[in-house]
Amino acid sequence: MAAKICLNKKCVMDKRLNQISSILSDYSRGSFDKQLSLSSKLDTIDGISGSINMLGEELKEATISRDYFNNIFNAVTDIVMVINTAGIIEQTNASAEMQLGHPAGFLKGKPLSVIKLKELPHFRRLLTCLKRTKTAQYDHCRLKMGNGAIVPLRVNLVYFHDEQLRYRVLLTATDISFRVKTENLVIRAIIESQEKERARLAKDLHDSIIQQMAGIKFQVSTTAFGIKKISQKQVLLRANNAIGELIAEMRNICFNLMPRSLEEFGLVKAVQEFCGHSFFAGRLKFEIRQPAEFPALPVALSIDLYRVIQEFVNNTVRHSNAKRVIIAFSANRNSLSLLLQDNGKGFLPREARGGMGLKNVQSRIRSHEGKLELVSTPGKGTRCKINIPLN
Amino acid sequence: MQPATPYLQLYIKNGILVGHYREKVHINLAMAHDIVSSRLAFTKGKAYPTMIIGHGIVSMDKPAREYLSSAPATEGLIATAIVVDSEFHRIVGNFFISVNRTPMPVRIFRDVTRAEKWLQKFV
Repeated sequence: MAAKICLNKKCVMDKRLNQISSILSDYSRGSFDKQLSLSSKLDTIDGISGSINMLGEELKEATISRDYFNNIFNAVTDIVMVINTAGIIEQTNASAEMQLGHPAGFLKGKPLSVIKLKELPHFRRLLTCLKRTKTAQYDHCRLKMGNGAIVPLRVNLVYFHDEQLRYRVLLTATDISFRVKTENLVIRAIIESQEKERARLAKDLHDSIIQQMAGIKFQVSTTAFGIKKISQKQVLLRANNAIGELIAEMRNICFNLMPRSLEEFGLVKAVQEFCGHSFFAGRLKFEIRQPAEFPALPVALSIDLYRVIQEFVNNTVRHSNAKRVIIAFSANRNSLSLLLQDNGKGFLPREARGGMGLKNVQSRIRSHEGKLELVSTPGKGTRCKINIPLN
Repeated sequence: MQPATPYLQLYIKNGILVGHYREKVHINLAMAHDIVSSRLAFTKGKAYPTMIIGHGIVSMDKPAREYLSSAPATEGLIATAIVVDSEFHRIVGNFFISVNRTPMPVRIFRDVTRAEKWLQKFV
């Protein structure tokens, strides 16, 4: 009888241990819905069962939270990455690998440099900056996507620590193609209305005031020719010369407002005319390089490049004490390049960032989806490289 | 020894507040609120390092666990040592500490003397 009771107890114990084993197997498979029932005895096994039930509840909540955040992480269309302080990608969302054309899991464990995010500073520099500022934003970064398209991105970086208090960088990159296109349309509209106004003003000055002044000059010179009294003749000849200089000055103003040669003969001819101006004689030597075959450019692009060259040369004259300027054009089927270089005193580019001149130049170049690279070192001159895609 | 609630006894020993659970207790949210208000009434607003002798706890439901680790429920607790009676409960207890973080230090012990020694640092 005693043996039978003992056997029954052993059976009950085995059953409870089997239930514990079964529920732990469920937990290991990620199923946390079942709970162990407690006996009326509330003994040690019940204590363990109660703890396992509590463990299941916590694991269920943690799993739901994890799945919830994983779903959000993978649902966003932006590129999202978690990077460790050594610059290694630890996590990426589904969108990142899909957009970059990599198989799932490819980027994990790779350095950030593998994605070749252009215009983003080197990771070590970024990290130094982020330790101080905690967040950073970089507009107009560019990234080659899996389909070969180069897309402008706004990159946001956040320095944070994870649950184990290890510092990490959260990178999110948003495709700003549409915003850039809209901005370019606005910039182009502003630039084109400015250029139209300049052209109108140049034409009005040329067709009315310069013509009238030429008429006055003719009358003064004719009158001077007929006067015999030397002193009066000299006065009229001086007036005639002054009017001539005024006409020349007005022509310069018209040329600077909108050179006719730009529309009639193209960019290179207009630049040659600009550089051949007497104002530069003895001050600045120009070396203009052009390929044998240079494509005919759209008028808007010609005007913008002309303005960029004008701005560079004017800055060279005003600030650099340079003696020589190189203006080199080159082109292939896909792009046009322009190199502007002087041998002046140079400057620190970061100190020039606030200038309106440089901002205008950047806007003009960006509106053609072009790229501008300005390199200058004190004592070593200034070099400006421009590349414009030709579609 | 002072009776506090039907399932918990409270007393002060060597500057440490000791909460001793009675046998075979299942704690729900209402009981958790009762435990906290009884403790605050017992200590009359004075803060203590606290030792919980939890041998008698069979289980504690999730809302109760969350409430007991919250800031209002841990008011007046400088540090807490929880004494359990098995290695299994110590491991599970450490898991819960990491999940339900409290504003003060909490450690799980299997030995009352060691728990007292650790709490003396906070007296």
